[in-house]
Amino acid sequence: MVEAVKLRAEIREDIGKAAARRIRREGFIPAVLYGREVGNVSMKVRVKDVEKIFDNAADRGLIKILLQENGKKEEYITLIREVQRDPVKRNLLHVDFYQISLKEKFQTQIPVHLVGEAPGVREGGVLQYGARFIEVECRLADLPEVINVDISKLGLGDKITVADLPETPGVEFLSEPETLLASVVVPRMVTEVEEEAEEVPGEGTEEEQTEASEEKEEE
Amino acid sequence: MLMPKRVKHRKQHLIRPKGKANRGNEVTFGEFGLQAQEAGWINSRQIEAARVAMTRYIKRGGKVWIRIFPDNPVTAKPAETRMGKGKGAPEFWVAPIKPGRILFELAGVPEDTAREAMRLASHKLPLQTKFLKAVGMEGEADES
Repeated sequence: MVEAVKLRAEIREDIGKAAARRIRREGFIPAVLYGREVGNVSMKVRVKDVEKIFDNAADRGLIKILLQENGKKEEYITLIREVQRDPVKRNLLHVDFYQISLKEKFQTQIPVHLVGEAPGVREGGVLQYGARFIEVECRLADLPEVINVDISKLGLGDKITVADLPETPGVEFLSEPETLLASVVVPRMVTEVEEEAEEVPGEGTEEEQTEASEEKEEE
Repeated sequence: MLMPKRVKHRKQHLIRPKGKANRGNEVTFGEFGLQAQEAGWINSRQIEAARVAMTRYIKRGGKVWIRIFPDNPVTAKPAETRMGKGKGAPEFWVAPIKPGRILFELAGVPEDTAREAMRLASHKLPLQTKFLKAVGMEGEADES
């Protein structure tokens, strides 16, 4: 089982745009905790603590939320369900924590790690990643940290999909069986050179042709 | 060069990008990405120049994704023409870009090669850009 990282959180009374901005100015970010047992709780967490979780690549693992409420302390085992970041500055805006039960099965995404060296790459192919995460359903005790995908038999033009993964006891793969995980593709170097050679003299004519066809369309 | 195969209307209003890119702002297909830091327009020639600069540098191996498409026509009037007499003829195509938009993605090359390829590509573009790594690539986080 994956070890849980601890994270302190406080109950958030203020909700809305202005309150969220005020919280962010104070070095916190708004967050929400939800699950079957806890219901729906608005919280705030220190942005530095959350960034530390992301820096240590622990964001796909378990997080133990230490929630302080009117002097009482409660603990919840959670997973990060959704992260909102600023598209340009990349700073954290909001995090969703999903409370999971110790007994019941739950769904989550597990990162895919490619293990080994593909013989197809040595032959001149390019290793192409597919899905970085796989949707799985399992109990907390069976939760794998990563899913290792062996690519040591991947020749030129070969691919590995979710259907090719060996069965893991207690873990059910929910991603489509045809979801691509890794493939070795033939590099397109030769075709690129041909394209370039064709494009340079054809640039003007191509435009003229399109303009002519557009005019025809209008008529 | 990239351009639509057929369009419903030959001439359109020029779309002025407002706000930040709420879509297409994550490195999705490749391992590395080039992200726009400001708003503007990138025309089909600039996209092609950037793509050629990247593919020439990476030589063999690697895969390039172009995440933008120039589907907004720009019209211009001929030189020394009096004003009026209707809108000018379509001259070229642009992709309106909002800050945060991923422009290109790369995979199958080492990081230093990807950085240099993206740097060369960025010099062909009229916007400030930033190099990004994909989230979740063997524990790597995105970075500037």
